This record gives sequence, C-alpha cells and structure tokens, in this order.
Amino acid sequence: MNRLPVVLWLATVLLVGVALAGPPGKAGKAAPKRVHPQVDPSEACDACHSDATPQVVAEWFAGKHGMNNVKCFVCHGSVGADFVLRAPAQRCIGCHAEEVASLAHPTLAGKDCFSCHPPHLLSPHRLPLVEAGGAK
Amino acid sequence: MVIAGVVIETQPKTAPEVAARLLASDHVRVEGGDGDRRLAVVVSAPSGAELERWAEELLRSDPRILGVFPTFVGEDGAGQRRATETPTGP
Amino acid sequence: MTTFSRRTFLETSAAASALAALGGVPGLRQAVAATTQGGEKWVKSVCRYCGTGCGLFIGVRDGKVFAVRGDKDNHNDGFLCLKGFLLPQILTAPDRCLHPLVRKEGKLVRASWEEAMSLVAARFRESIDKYGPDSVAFYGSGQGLTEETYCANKLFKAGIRTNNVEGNPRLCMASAVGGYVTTYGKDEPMGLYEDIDHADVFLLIGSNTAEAHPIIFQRIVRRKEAKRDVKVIVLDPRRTPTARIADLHISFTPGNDLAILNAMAHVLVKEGLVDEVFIAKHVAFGEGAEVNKSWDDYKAFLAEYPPAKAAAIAGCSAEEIITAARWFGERGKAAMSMWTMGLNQRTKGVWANNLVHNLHLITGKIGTPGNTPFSLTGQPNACGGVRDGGALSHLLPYGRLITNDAHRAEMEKLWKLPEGSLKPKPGLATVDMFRALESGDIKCLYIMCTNPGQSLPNVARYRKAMEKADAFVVVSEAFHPTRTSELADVVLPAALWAEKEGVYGCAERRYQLMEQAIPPAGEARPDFAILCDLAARLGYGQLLPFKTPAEVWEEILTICKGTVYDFTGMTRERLKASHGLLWPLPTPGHPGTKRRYVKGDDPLVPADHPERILFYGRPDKRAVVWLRPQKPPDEVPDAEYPFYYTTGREIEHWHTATMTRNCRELANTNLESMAQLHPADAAKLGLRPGAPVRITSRRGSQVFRTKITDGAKPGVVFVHMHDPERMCNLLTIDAVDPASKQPEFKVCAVKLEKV
Repeated sequence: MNRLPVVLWLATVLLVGVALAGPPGKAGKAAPKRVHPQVDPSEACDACHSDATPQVVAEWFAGKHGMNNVKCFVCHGSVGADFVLRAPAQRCIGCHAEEVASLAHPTLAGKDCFSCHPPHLLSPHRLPLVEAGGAK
Repeated sequence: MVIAGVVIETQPKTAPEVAARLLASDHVRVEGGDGDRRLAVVVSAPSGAELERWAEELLRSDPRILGVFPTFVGEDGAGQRRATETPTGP
Repeated sequence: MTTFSRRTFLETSAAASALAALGGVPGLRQAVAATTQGGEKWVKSVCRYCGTGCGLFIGVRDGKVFAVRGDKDNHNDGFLCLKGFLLPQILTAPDRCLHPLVRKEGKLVRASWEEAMSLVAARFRESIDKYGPDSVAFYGSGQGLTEETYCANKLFKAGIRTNNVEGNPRLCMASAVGGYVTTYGKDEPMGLYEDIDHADVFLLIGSNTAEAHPIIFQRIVRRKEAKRDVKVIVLDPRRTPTARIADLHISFTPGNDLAILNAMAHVLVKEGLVDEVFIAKHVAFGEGAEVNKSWDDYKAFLAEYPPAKAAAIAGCSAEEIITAARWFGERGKAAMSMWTMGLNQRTKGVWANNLVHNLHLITGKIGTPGNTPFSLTGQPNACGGVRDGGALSHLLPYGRLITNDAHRAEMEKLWKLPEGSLKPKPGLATVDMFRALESGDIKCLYIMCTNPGQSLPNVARYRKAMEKADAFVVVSEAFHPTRTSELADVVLPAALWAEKEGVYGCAERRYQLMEQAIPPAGEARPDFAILCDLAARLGYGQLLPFKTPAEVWEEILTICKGTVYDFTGMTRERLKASHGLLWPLPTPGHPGTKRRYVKGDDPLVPADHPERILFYGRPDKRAVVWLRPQKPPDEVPDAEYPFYYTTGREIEHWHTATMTRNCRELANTNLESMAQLHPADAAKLGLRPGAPVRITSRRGSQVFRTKITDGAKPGVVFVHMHDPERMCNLLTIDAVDPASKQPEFKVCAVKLEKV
C-alpha cells in the first residue's frame, strides 16, 4: 500500500489542526475535536509521523519527554475515541501536579501549559539537553 | 521554519531599550509593547531547537531580560513541501 | 485561507497571540480541575509496577480512582513513567476477576467464597494427610504485599511444615541474591538511588534502563545534564533506547560478558587503577565455593583475560574494553554499576553478579557517594516481601537459612513452635517445583499474584503440568482469564493495588506503606484475608491470628529485630507519616540507612570501628572477589539452530501485561510480541516489516511478525515477554544457574523460517 496519500492527508489535517487550535489569542472558541486516522495499532507513532510531522517528532525526541520516553499517547491518548490534539492540563498532573495547580493563579488566567511551553519540545526556559557522546 | 509569537519580560522601564536592540535582528519583528516591562515579538527560526537556543542566548546575554515566553508556535514549510509532490495513490 | 500564504497566516497568528498575552486578555479557556478541592482525596501509595518503587498519590472521587500524581517528596521527585501514569484504568478493567470460580465438568463456573475456600482447604488437607506436607506447595510473587507473603510463608513452612514455598523472584532476582550473598555474606544493595546524583561513571550492563526502569534512567539523565563530563558505559548486545545516552556502547555476543568483565579487571590491575590498601583491609579471594585464594592468585587468573582475548570471545573490540575499564577505574571518579535481567537470567547469573562486584572491590569504589554496585530489581516487592521476608524454598525471614540449625531454632522460638518443627531440608526451587507437579510429587499448588502459565521458561511443559487431571491448582488473581487462571481448578478473586493496604520494599531498601484508597471490586478480597481464612480452615489459625495487615507488621517487626535487616523502628505510624524509609532502621528515632557497611551511616557498624567500612555480613568481615571464568550459556547457536534468541521488556507493558493491556493507550501499543531483527538478517531471510516468521527452538515453535530495527544485533532475535497470545516462553530454555536456580531466559538457540 502506498503510504504517501495517508501522509499527505495527515500532514494537512494535523498541521491545519495545530494552526487552528494554536493561538490563544483567538479567545473563546474551543478547538474542534480531532479524530486520529485509522492506523495499524502495532505501528509506532513515528512510523507515520516521521514523514508527516517530522518537526514534531524531532522536537519531542530532543526534549525531556522524548529522552524519558513519555510517549505520544501520554498526552494525546490512544488513536481511538479518547484521542485529543491539545492535551488538557489535567493530563499532565501525573508528573507535574504542582505546576498544573499553579495555573489557578490569577496571572495565568486562561492559560494552559502550552501557552508557554512549546509542544513538543516542552522545554522550560533554560536547561541544556543531554548530548550523547560517540555512541555508534 | 518555526514561527513563534513571544512575550519578552524585562526589568521595569527597560522594554523600549530591549526593543531597540531587537530591531537589529532580522528574524525578530517587534509587534508592540507596554512601554515598561513587556514586549510582543514574532520570531522565526529554522527549528524549535533553534528557537530555544535563541531564547536561552537572549536570557543569558542581557540582564535586562527576565523571561522569554512563547505564546504561539507554528510550523511553516512542511505543508508547502508536501504540496509540490504528486500523489500516486487513490 | 487560499488567498494568502501560510507563512503570513502564521505570522499574523503569532503576533496576535503575543499581543493578546501582553494585554492580559484571556486566551484559550481550558478547564483545569482543582487538585485539592471538591470532595477529592489523595491517598499516599506506591506504583504497582517495577522495582523502582515510585511514590505517588492516588486521587479518589466518588469512591473511584480518577488519577494518580507522583509524590514530590519521594525519591522519584514527583515523576512517573508512562505506565504508572495510566494506573487508574487497571482497577476498572473489564477482565477483573470479581467472583470465585470453581472448575466443574471442565469449565470454570462462578461459586461462593464458602464453596471455593472449603474446596481448597479440603483438597490441601487431604493431600497433606495422605501424601505428606511436601505434596503441597506455594508459588507467590514479588508483587504480593510484605504482610501477605509473610502470612503465606508462615502458613506453609510453620503450619503445614513444607518448605515448598517459592515465588517469581526466583525467575528474576535469585542470581542477584546469590551474587550479594556469596560476595558480601548478606543480600541487598549497600547503596541507594541517591548515589546516581554523585556518580561520575555509570556502568549499565544487562539493563535496558530506559524502558525497564524509566525513572531511574531519568535520574541518570539528570546527572548527565548537571555534570557534563559524566560518562555512561552501556554493555548490551542490542542497542536499546538506553544506549541513547551512552558515551560508549559495547555490543557483544550474548553470554560472553563474563570475559569482558574479567578483561576490565585485567586492565584495572595492569594500569594500576586498583586500591591495594582497600584490598588488603577488606577483600578476600575465592574460587568455586571456597574462600581460599589470594590477591596474587587473582592477578594470575586475570592474566588469562587480556582485552584482545576477551574481545575475540565476546565479539567486540579490545579498545572498547580498555576504554570502559579506564573510565571506570579513573582515580577520583565515582563509579556506579547497575544491572538487571541481562546478568541475572543466566545459567552463570551468580558469577556475572560476582564479576561486577569484583570491579568495585578491587578499586575500592564502594561505600562512598556515587561509588556502588547497584542491582536493579524487577518487581515492586521482590525485595521487601520475598527476598527480605525469606519466602523462598531455602530461606527463612530476614537473612536466615533453612539449613542453618541456629536460624531454624530462632524462628521456632519467634513463631512459638515446638522445637524441631521447621523442616531442615530446603524445598523445591521453582522449576523443580513445577517439575514435581508434572511428576505428581506435588498434588496441590497455590499460586498467588503471578502468571507462571505465561512467564515460566519452556512454558508449554509446565502448562501441561498445571492442566493435569490430578493436579489441583488454586490461583489467586485480580484478573481472569490469564494464561494461568485459565488452567486453574479454583480461581480466587484478589483485591488489586489501591484496594488493599500493605508494605512494598523497592530496590534501594526503601520500605513504603501503600494505603488503601477504595474498597475491593466485586467480591475480591485482599490476599492477606484469603490466607488467614485458609489457615483457619486448615487448623493453623493460631499462626495467622491477624485481623489487619497492621497486626502482621507488628509481628514482622519482632522477627527482623537483631538481624542485619533490623527495621524495628519502622512502626506503622512512622511509615504512614513518611515517604518511604530505608533499612536498617533499628530504633524509633533512627533516620534510616543510606549506605550499608559504612561507619557513621550504618547503625550495625560500631562507631569506634577503625576503618570506614565493615563488611559484617561475613565471618571474616571481608567481601569476596570470586575467580569466575568465562563459560558459555547452556545452549548456544549451532548449525541446526543458528540464531541467538533473547527475551526482555519494553516500556509500554509490564510483565505479562495483565494490567497494562487494560489501559486504553497501551492496549494497542506494542502489546504484540514481534521478532526484532537486524536489517541484514531480515534481508537474508527475505523478511519485510510485518512479515510472519516462524521461530523454533528445541522446545517449541511460534510465529511472530517481523520488526526490523537497526538496534538489533546481527544473529540475535529479540522477542518481548508481554504478549499472552504469542508467548515468547514457548521457546525459552528452563536450564538454571546451579547456585541460584534461576532460569536462563536471556539466551538460547533458535532457527528462523519465513512463513
């Protein structure tokens, strides 16, 4: 099967989705619910996303979540009915309960994690990332 | 190519000076500010990692700058690349 | 959208968002649930999965667990791996076992507790009376709570009077136990996780830490970020995600790591990186089972392992070995070794463990921050419940041995038994136990909280044994069906994790109390209650007179007193108030012990001891460097079976996946066991990704789909252990380490055929 059409569609759907869901300045409208395309469940996400959204994959891999194998479904859910494009802050409390609780502060009104922490690098504002040495 | 909307927080009263400095950058466009402690800029960078490096360098190099906060990050380029290829499947 | 460029669109959006943020205009409206208000409670507990033992809080609302969050005051600093993150879903899984089941006319049908327990008691009593106590056996788990395992151990060894008490740590940690006991005289690591924060060099061998112990891996990553010249050496035939942070990854042919470790010691000696003063004061030397060698004997032994020779044996380069040794041995650098199944699940597992300890002992890199050998434990309570609690066929609680007359006498006194009650002969180790089930010597087997019908090596053989008409198998389990409960005569529904309270003891000697968050589902009961019920029905109620797990704990405190584990100061109240405590902790005010054998830290080292270290576990107060030669695995590739077959874990699933497969996000992620092959091997066999391949060993055969990965080693096929439908253990070998009785899951020989 030629994967290219799927990739094209994925790229269009998801990139437009990011642009639509992204800007917090567009106040008031919640992003439409995205549905993940049907995929072979035994394939890892990057089987398609390395081609469809290489930036996303690269950023995730370079950031702490990629280093520590906090995989896609932790934020996005499975590819089934529970799939979400922009994870609600509640999903982050497993590891970041205090930070999520801080969103209740008045200066952060209306903001969520991704208002400041760019997906998928999800960086804080400083801290170098680990560079592997000369491993083959 | 990554395009980001960024708020830069500065020491009180120093935002205009920081803005002047940033005007010299060709990948940063100053959109506005409150005249006191905050600037709104649009930054373009080849990748998210480059954006991060730029932010770190800014923080490191200028003591007037207290924080660099992206508010929006969008990706340009991947969609355009795809659009030039001819689909071969159904 | 089509009349202006995407770029313009993005820039406009970016500007708008930044300006909006400037003015404090509310952006996206996202509901953020309050984490402390509104009828919620957060119950302190521990992750149900691996031996890292991450602390967490279980969020309960309306009687249901709705979330978990990491405990910031525990060693994991608030972090959880992706499995722990998704824990709440296991409690409401559709295949929860909610009612007792009894097999009637070949089918398991629902029964009442009374009927089920009467049947279990009757069959066990009949067998004991007719065929003797050794006709029954208990097979428990490193996932059982300490109090539960203690009850089972006491019921069978002191009540029924059989030493046929085993547990699945025999399959994962027995060689580590053997390594610690032969080297230091007593089990369990002397260091702790905090040593990671001080190490300059990490030696990770036989461990895919990134996937099997993710939070420990994360801590190593943080150390590397904090100190840029920290070196990570990874020894593994495969290049796994762990190798991502490796400064040196040494790939070698499976089973030949003993040569590499000896060669590293060779280099350390040759380049003068050893600590002769430390050796003179604290080290003895031995071979076989005798501590009768000298430092000179050891050096002569090591002369047989120059790097070039070891490299030829192991299929790596001499330079890699030399580099690894130099980094490990560099003066002034703290070295921490970590290992798990790659070393333990071998017929030479104890030897492999000894050789890692050797490196630390000859360099003196032990007992100071960052300097320690540290065995990573697979299960959440293999340490606390089974190893420390002595629930194996040759052990008694807290460092005591069945064959030791004084130890038996001590336990008879503590358990208020008549003199001579405890059998002096060890019972059967796991593989032998299941072989005895096969032969009919064991007629009744009680299996608690584990899944041997999937996890035993050469599993088809032992599934047949469990299916035998005259074998009476009782399975206490939270899920049904599992590959074991499907074979049972009686299935007892067990309470799961948040539904009961008790203590877990993780890899770093940290004991932690898990508090009950919700009532058990359906008719499930905690194993503690089931065992006390069984004891009463068998006439041993006076041995298990406990109403609550807390009462069991009170008794346990009296049993550990005066042993090298002594955690008498760990009262229930103290555990409740703490975020885990490290033993030894002998008195109420004691803070716990970071580093054992170290003066000033370990309360068992006298304050006026002249040296910084005292290896009090052995009569001569020395640790032993054992002369262990390179010997191959039991079964290696040959003309007929030309591939190495190895098994292991992946991050998405835990053990036999009875819990993780019930999490939405994990159900379809990596549950299927696939044959992971190097591209060159796949090409030679004509296999494309996803293509079916039949893998056959001398014991069995199974078809898997192909997964091609650069990280695979040519000539080695890897299959993970999690899939209940394509069981990797149909092929594995049940040969065991003669000392530890642990099977060699990691290496056997197979042939591959395109289907």
